[in-house]
Amino acid sequence: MKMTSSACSKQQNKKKGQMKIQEMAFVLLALVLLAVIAFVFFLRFSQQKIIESAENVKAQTTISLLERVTSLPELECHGKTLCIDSDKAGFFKEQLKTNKNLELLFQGLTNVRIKPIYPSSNDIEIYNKGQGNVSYSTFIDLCKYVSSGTSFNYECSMAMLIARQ
Amino acid sequence: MIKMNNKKGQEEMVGFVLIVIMLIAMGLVFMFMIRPKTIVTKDLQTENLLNSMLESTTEGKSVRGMIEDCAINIDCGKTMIEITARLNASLSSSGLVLNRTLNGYSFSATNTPLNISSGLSTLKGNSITALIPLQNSDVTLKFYY
Repeated sequence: MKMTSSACSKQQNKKKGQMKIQEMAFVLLALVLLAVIAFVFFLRFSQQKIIESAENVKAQTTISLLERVTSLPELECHGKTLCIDSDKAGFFKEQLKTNKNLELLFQGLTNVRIKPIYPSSNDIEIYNKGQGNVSYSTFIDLCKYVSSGTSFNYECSMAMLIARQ
Repeated sequence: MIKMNNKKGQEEMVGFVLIVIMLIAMGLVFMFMIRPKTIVTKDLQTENLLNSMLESTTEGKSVRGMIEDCAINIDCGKTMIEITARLNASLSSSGLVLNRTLNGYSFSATNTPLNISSGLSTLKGNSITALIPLQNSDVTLKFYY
């Protein structure tokens, strides 16, 4: 009789221990799941930030590269940024055919052209030494110096400057 | 006695599991609620496009000048037509420059009735935007993607 009671108590203790182990396992599982949720959330948040900054860097690289082209004295409009004088561009294109030294101005680029958007017209290819692999483009003003009565003014259209590397 | 203890333990376990499930559900709900529904990004390329549009001219007058005139109630109708034509013409090229498939655009200028968009049904979700202040008005261009 004594033996049976002791065995019973032992079994009870064993069950209690098992229960505690199970409880602990569940607590750990819950903690791990919560940590995973927090980590996934953090990853999504940082991924968004990384994508945003990568796009910003790309846009800045593109614009600084294209600004280099639009700020060439042979092409730029007087007193305007990100603007190309269409008359200067036409003249410069002709000059490039005879004066190979001018090609140094486009070092690192294989193709530079202007695509008028509004009003639309034919593309103006300024420089062409192949098609290149990477294309950079941005919006610019394509202006022409015209006389209006006694004064001269710029008349501008919307255009896209496309450079290939 | 042992059976009763066993049952009590089982009930405790069920309660505990319920609490754990509730915590996880709350975590998930919190995660989805906090996630921004739409992303609005300021964009340099969109700013260039807006600048290029403002500087473009019709009959010797720039769009910038037209908007400023409109802000003091001079001929907003023609300004609206000119801006719409330019934005429609640039929408496909803008997609290439901005590296995105664009669904539409919206343009607005404060202190003027100028509020132009390309189809209201598509103007939802993420957008890239640019704002340029003029003398009498602030001009905003948004592209939806």
